[in-house]
Amino acid sequence: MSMDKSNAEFRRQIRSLFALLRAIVRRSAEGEISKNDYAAQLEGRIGALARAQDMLMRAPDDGVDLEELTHGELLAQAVPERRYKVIGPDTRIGREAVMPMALALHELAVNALIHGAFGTRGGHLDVTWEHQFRGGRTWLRLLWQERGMQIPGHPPTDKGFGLELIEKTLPYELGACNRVAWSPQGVRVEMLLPSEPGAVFWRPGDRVLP
Amino acid sequence: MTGLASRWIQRLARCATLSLEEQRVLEDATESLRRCSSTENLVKIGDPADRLIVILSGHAYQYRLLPDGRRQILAYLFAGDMCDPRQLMLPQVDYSMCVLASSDIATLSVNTLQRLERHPNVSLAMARYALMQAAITREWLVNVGHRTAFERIGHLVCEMFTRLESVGLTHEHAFELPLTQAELGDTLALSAVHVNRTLMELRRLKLVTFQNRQVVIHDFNALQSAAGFDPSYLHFNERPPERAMSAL
Repeated sequence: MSMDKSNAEFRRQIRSLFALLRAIVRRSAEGEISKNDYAAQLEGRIGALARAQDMLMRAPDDGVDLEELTHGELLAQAVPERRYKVIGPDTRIGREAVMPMALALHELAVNALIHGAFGTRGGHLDVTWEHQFRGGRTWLRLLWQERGMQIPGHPPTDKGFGLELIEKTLPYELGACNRVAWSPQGVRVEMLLPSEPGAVFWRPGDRVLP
Repeated sequence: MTGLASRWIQRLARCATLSLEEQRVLEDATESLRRCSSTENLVKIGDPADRLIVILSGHAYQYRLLPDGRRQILAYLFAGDMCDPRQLMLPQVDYSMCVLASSDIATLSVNTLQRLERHPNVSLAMARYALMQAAITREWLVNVGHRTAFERIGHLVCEMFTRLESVGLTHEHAFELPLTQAELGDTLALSAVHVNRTLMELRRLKLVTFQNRQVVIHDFNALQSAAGFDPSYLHFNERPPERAMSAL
């Protein structure tokens, strides 16, 4: 990569990171929330971005491993590993998608801790994914399924940052098709994300280098 | 000084300047040594704290078990390391200790330790050594408390390399480490699956390879930077301040 090109790429990345930070700062302030809670939420979200950025910086062209990103978010919330399973084929996340995905997984992990499977005795989480061919395209189908809730979960009365991120931002920015559902067992999130060589998600080995 | 005690003496000599006489006294203190086979338990939690264990060759670790069998590894001791001499001021040992591979162990009685500590430089070296070990424990707390899985493993590898290099136990950028992935997991508060995954990533990036009880670091600088390893907490390149020496 020439100096100019790598500089331009760096600038693009920093700009998009700042844009994301602005959106986070703005959106985190919505609703009735104390200053301390606001700061804690903000710090949590920025932490997720920092961890993801660190993973990406090791080898930006290789993207980030989906399993590592998922484990990393759960680990950062100090969720004991015996309470969740992460299962899926090797999948890389391209640089455009790393930050939004990290943020989405962070929101889900925090939600599970406060309202979901990890806030209840015996609650459990399965994160699984596979690559599927549907409607002429390959998709990464990721399932976040919480189980073992004792008090039935219910949809939140107002849509928060995390839900909007998953239901609106990811579809808009990554071409995802996401569904969030509440069952008595716990929350279930299904994400369909474009996965093919040259797309933002891919299986190692599939990638066609530009 | 070519005996089995040389690494221990070398390690202590990095903590304070030892006279030839003091080095000889240390060597004599390790006369009653024994060979331990792999996975032998050296100390059990609650044992009376009446002896000081020195690892002359091989590897050992200290650990705590939870009632349901979960285990936290608290420290690794390599050739030249010893348990905290201050432990003998308490009635009981508050950790268990096990050897990892066949090792030569010297056991010093309270009397022997008291005799050694009459030598001011030996006493100073042991006090500083104990402080350095405590600094490692503090760094481990940061490791399991705040670092990512990738940083935890990378950091531990950098630390082990730096420690082993200081006693001449590395070859190029490799060292022997007879650890299982489960033991690594119990050191870093990660599951064996998570450790396995992270080791694959470290290998993929050509930073570190674990194989056949050997750790090979392919790019120390890149690993150090990725793991955020700053060796200053090991205090290896510092000379003791004169003030602290005269105060003791």
